[in-house]
Amino acid sequence: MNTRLAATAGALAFLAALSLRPSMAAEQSGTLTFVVRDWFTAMYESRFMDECPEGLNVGNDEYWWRGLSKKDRARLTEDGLVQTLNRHNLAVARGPKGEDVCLIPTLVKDPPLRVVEGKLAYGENLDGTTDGHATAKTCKHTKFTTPDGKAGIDNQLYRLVGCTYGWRKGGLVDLNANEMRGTSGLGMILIEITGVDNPRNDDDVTVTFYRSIDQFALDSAGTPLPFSTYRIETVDGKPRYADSVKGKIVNGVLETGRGDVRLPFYGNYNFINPVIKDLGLKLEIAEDGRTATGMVTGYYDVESFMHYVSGLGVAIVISYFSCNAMYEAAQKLADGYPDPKTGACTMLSSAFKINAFAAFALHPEKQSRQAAR
Amino acid sequence: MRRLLSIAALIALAAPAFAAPADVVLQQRGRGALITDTKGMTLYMFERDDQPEKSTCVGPCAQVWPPLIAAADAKPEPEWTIFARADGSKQWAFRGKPLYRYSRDVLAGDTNGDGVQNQWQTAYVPIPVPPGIGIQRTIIGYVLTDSKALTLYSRDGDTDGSRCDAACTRTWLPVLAPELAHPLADWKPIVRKSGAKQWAFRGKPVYRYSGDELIAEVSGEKASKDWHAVVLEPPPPVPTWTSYRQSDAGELIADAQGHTIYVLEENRRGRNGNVNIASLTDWTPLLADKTAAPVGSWAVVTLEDGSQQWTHKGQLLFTYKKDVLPGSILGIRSGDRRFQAIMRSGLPMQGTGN
Repeated sequence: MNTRLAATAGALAFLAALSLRPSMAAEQSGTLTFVVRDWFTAMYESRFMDECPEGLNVGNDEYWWRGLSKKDRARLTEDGLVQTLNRHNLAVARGPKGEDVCLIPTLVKDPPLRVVEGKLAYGENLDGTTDGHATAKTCKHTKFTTPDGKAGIDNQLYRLVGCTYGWRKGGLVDLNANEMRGTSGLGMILIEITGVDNPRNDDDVTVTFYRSIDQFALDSAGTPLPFSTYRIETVDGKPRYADSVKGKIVNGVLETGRGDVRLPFYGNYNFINPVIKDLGLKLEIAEDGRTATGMVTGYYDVESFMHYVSGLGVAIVISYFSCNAMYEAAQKLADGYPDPKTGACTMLSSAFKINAFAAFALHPEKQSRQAAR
Repeated sequence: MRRLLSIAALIALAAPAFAAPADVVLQQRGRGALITDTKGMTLYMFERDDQPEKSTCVGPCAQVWPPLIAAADAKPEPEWTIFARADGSKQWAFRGKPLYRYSRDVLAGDTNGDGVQNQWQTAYVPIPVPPGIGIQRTIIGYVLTDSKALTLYSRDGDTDGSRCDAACTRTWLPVLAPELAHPLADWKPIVRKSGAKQWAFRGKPVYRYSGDELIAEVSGEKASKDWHAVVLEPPPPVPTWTSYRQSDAGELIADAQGHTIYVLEENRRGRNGNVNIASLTDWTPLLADKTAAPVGSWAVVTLEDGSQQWTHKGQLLFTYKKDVLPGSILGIRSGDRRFQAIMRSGLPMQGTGN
């Protein structure tokens, strides 16, 4: 029996022997662990798209197409046979010398990106102000209110991408990334909650974010099996990712304080490992302890975000945005962490919705010992 | 020159263990015999040639990958066949797979074509293995594997009998042989105390490590000092100034400071099209000092300005300016497939869509 199966079977047998609900496992071990399955940009989408009064953005392909003569359209697309999906390399080569405007977004100026003008968004108050005025750590910005009425919300990432099809319901950016993470074993994020005396109420726990080297253990429907074991990635015996924040659990809802956390992110064939500044996590743990849903909030740096966006591959054309217009808008909307030299903010307040499954994290020092059982 | 001599020595020492026609030479390696032409130039097989004795590499492809044409008087041998190409010329095939040279191999022994576009592999006559046993490339070289491509191990000092008792077999899983198994080349079935048969390779019983889960994983190497993966062939040498770094996509080769090294794959068309490399300001050429000497697939070329740049398998090497942290791989971007990291295993990087 291999390491993970042995560990999972052992843990489940232990629970069964004690006739415990899985959520009560923490009372025995002091630890709750979840593996993140889905990671979505938190988007508020109204029924009539009120947040985007001018409609959604048009994309690289449209701008490229507009700039071509009829003759060039025919020449470059084999008389129209090469459609949007297969001409993404051409559509972004809009620089003066054919440069890629996603790789070098300052070469060409497109009409400004359409950004969210609505007042509602998901997220948290990250800067502590009620009106978004500039502080030592932030730049002036406009606040949102959550759909259930909580004011003072910061979410400039939503303002940036909220009127772009790729991030909205049915758009491919996050869907693709989640699909690829689900099938590749890359970008696997483990959330480990330690110091848990009571899994439903505990006022002092530590939350650590790791990267696992294992793929999801799936059931026959392709859904992750709760309480599977995942090995933590290590270098020289130490976890490569292991940033922590403190937190508390109230009635089954984990809420952390804020801290800087580096995460291993993979999606759309790109690897980035951004540090989310002032990351906070709110995670609602299901009564049976098998799943959890929640929201990650914090400041996401413009550089990492635009690097990811500019490497989206085919999604660059079927997500319908202009790379250079988005780059320009991202600089303007950044509301966190001013550059000490220029004073311009470098990060975007953001919120992400996550779905997670209960898991066991196999720590490096236990991996060989576990295998020997 | 030293490289040429060592290659010549290899060719001279090559002892053909398998019958082969006069147009090819078999050079013994750990995992089998590398197939070369009579001048020692490496031969290759093409993944897309999926029908026996039929070549899909024609036209421009055949200029880059010249087919191994059979001499006029060549006669087929068992497992070595001659078939007619679309243009009427006669090409050699081994076990039905057409054989090619690579136009970018310069010296005898070069293997610059190995792994190109994940479609081309060096042509090998593999060592005989029983059914269910395989050979896999890993970070420590080519190793034996089970049917799921999980690494096999043996214990130092083990002889024909297994010293791994019931407790030991919880960690080290014996690789069982069928009841009717017979010896095959270096392989022999031994009988365990339980009566079950277990495969032994070159006299040592073989096992799987219970902690290995992934293809090419060799975690068992760290589990005990007495147990080692069965390595058939060590990995190719790398320059001393390189380092190994863990990344989100596996262990890769970096420079001394830990910056990921990228190959500019000229066979691929990237998002930058034909833009001059010099204009790609985010990429820093990996320069070599004047005393730099080639190592394995690593060599140096002299640039127009007189400086020297490292190459790997004949292709220029760079680092990416945005890779600030050791192990960062921000140079890997969907859609721009020209820059590829060099994985320690020699396998392509997982997850890049290539």
